[in-house]
Amino acid sequence: MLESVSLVGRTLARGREDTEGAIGDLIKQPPAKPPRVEKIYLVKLDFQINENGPRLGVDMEEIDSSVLYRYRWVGNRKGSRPQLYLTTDNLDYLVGQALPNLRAAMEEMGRQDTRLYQGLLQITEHFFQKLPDGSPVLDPEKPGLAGEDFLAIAWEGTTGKPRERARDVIGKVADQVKKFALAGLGIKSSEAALWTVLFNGEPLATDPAYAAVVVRSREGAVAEGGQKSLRGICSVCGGENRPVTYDLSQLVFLKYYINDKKGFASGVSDEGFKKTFLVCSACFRSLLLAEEYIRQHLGLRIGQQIKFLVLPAFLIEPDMGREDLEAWAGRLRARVGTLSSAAVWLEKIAGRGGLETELAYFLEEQPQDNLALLNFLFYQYQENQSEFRVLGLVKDVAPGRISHLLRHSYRLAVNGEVLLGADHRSWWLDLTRVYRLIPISEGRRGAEHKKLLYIYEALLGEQPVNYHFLIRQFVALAAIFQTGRFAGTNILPPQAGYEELEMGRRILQANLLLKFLREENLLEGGWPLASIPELEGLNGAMQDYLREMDYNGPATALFLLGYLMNQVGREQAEAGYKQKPVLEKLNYAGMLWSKVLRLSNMVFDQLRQYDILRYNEGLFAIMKKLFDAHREQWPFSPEENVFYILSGYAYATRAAMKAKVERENNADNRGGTDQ
Amino acid sequence: MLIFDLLGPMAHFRKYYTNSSSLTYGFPPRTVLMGVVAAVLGYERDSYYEELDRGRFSVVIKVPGRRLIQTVNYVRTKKEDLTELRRLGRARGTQIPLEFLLPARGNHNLCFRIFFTHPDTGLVEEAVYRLRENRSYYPLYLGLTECIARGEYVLLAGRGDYQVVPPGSQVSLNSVLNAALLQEVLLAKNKGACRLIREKAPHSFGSGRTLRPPVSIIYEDRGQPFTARLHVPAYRFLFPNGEEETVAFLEG
Repeated sequence: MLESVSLVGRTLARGREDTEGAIGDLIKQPPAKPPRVEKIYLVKLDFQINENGPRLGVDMEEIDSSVLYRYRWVGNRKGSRPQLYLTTDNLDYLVGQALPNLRAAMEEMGRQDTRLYQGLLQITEHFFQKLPDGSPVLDPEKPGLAGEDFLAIAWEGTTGKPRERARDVIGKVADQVKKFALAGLGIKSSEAALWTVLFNGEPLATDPAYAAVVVRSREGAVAEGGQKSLRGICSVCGGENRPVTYDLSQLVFLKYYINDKKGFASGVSDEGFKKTFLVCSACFRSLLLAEEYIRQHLGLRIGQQIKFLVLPAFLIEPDMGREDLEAWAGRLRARVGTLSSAAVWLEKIAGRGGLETELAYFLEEQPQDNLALLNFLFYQYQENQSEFRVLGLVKDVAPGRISHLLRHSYRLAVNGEVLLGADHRSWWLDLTRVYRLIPISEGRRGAEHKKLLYIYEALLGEQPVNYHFLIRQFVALAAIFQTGRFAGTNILPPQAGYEELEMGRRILQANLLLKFLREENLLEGGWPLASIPELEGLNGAMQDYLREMDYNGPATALFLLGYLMNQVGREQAEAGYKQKPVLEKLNYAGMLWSKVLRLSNMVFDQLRQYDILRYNEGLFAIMKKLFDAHREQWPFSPEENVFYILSGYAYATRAAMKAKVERENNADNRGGTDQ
Repeated sequence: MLIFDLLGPMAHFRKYYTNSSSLTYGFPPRTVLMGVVAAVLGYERDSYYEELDRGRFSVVIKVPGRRLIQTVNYVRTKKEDLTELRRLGRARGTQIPLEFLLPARGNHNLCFRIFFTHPDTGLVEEAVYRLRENRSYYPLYLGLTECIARGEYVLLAGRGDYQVVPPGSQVSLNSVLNAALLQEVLLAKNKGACRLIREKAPHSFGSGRTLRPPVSIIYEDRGQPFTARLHVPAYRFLFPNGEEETVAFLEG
């Protein structure tokens, strides 16, 4: 893993060793647009000093990539580190510590001769004050944004520890400045996404000296002579006798090495960190570049909470330039992105050439495909705490495996369409669809991910999945739909009135997933494929479905029972029941064989009661025959019994819908012919 | 040359660059192998690095591993916790995902076959004696003390017990390989199930347990042999039970 991350970083760093190149690689994506906001702006606070004294002007620019680059948007410093960046999304930093800190950093670097330093000096001396606890803050009284003694009054109005009081006052100053700027520019608060500083009309962030400070603030730990720098061996490249550091706190994302807890150090002492993992400046820079790049370009998400990175690893390092890497990574991300959610890709190509042609083109082999193996790193990251946790790592997946899974899924979707009706989106299995089939608890503290990763690891890493485990999950999924307990899970509640339809769709998808895994030879512990039962008497479409799904005798019998329950349910709905009572006869905790028999007798009574036995007598007879054939040694578990009954029920719901669509189409066609 | 098996129900060989999520290698790196031999012989911690670094090691994954991440509670040892810990007060916890290596389904134990040779023949003979008698000086473990292990003597191989395969020949290699010794991987000769992995792993310690430059290691994840050409000689062993294994030493 370290090899692949540092290779990505080294490739990116090639030819960009100067400060300008380095800062270019640190530029971040623009802040996300809030809902219902069309444009977001960078607001410029222009600190002016002339004969009339200090004055604050405001201006703005719509945010695009050139603005982000020109004003050096590199995010904020993480955690409790001193803020010193001039372009920020948090105005509190600009009216508080950032400018004085930046001035101090420049003094430390001996860069007092620069235009930037002179500007900072003027601003901090003419506009800033110190609060009683020593915190620097912009005094809004000086440029005339507030009345007399604004800071003193604000301080008096706060309580708590001095640090908390200072934070409150700085917040009030920021509000004051924001109010003034927004009123002057005529924009809303949500449109002001970034803030920067000008001095007498000149942007300070564009000064080359600023880029040097920013780069040093990120890479500074390793600089020779620094407090946490020593001479030694780099643990990444193996280079000997060079400046190295053990301080990796500047890494904010791919941070799987911590050194703020002594317990992790050799000999349980701070000195111990110097013995285990040291990084030289070139490797440190490549790690910095790689973490930003990987996060932006090789990171994907399933649902809201399951995030993963695709890290390429090379057995023999390829000779790859930055452009090659970017092109290949883009293509790779698109392909893996389609595996994680096919819906986006289908939407993108909608209306274009045939799906199969598109897919073939999309999966065309790329030059680096043969050399690379992909590591799927599932992780949890808490932005505020810079905490990166590995949840699972699927190693060495060949890019060809992704293509294979996509092709197989496509074939299955086409098959599903024939058997269950046109609906590519429903039958195309991808990682998101699998995610929606396995109920997991989800909340603010993250998702209970293990069950899901077990299946992903199996699919990607070609390991078997336990069949009974899957069946239990599918029955639990149905129970959520039946009871409406969606809260706290990853299962989205359907639109009111569509609960049964949606549940049916999921159960059919679950059947397709079982088929998919069986065909991939990844299903462990499933029923031995007994001879396919005699299906004479069933309609052709149903026979096709049962054969395609490899249903054996007992599964077919349960399927038919489910189908008949659906027929009863339809009559109950027509009789005015909102919740079909027949569905309540199922126990989602599982049903013993004896209970299944009792249910079949009950269904028989209901068929008679609703006077629909005459239409279903044939089906009932086949079901009964299959039950009788296996009654001595019923092979299924209580959960399996429920699952296959639900499968029949779901199939019947879908068949009714498919028939309705066909009837409507036929009517339309006849109408067209008549005209 | 001493050959012995290292067996245990679970292992964790922490990747040296991970500790906030501790991930494991799929094999014991060379520093672990040195530690195991040191434990057999009874060397004190930190006392054997120079002596055993003169030895040559090779390792074969006999039972493929599967990985399981389990979150464990460690005692939190941030600066602000230390006062409380010194007072033996209530220690806070910190949760760390820890990746364990377990034997693939159908196996009770992980098994690594270790090949060890050293210029000091007395040292090798002592190790042979101790392993034969099942009298390792210190208990053995697979990476963590919680992952207890046992050593099983296999063979003391003399010159007649192996063939030397000259550099540049095509070999079907059973051992993990130092990537620097690789001339070429013959992918076409490998079967579909071959999953080669490249990892940076520690090779040796300097004085005071400081890490020396790590090396890249290539190995087959499922314990299958892989076909390659090497810059260095490989050694083909025929064991009394008819098994054949070809290994390359990590040092070349």
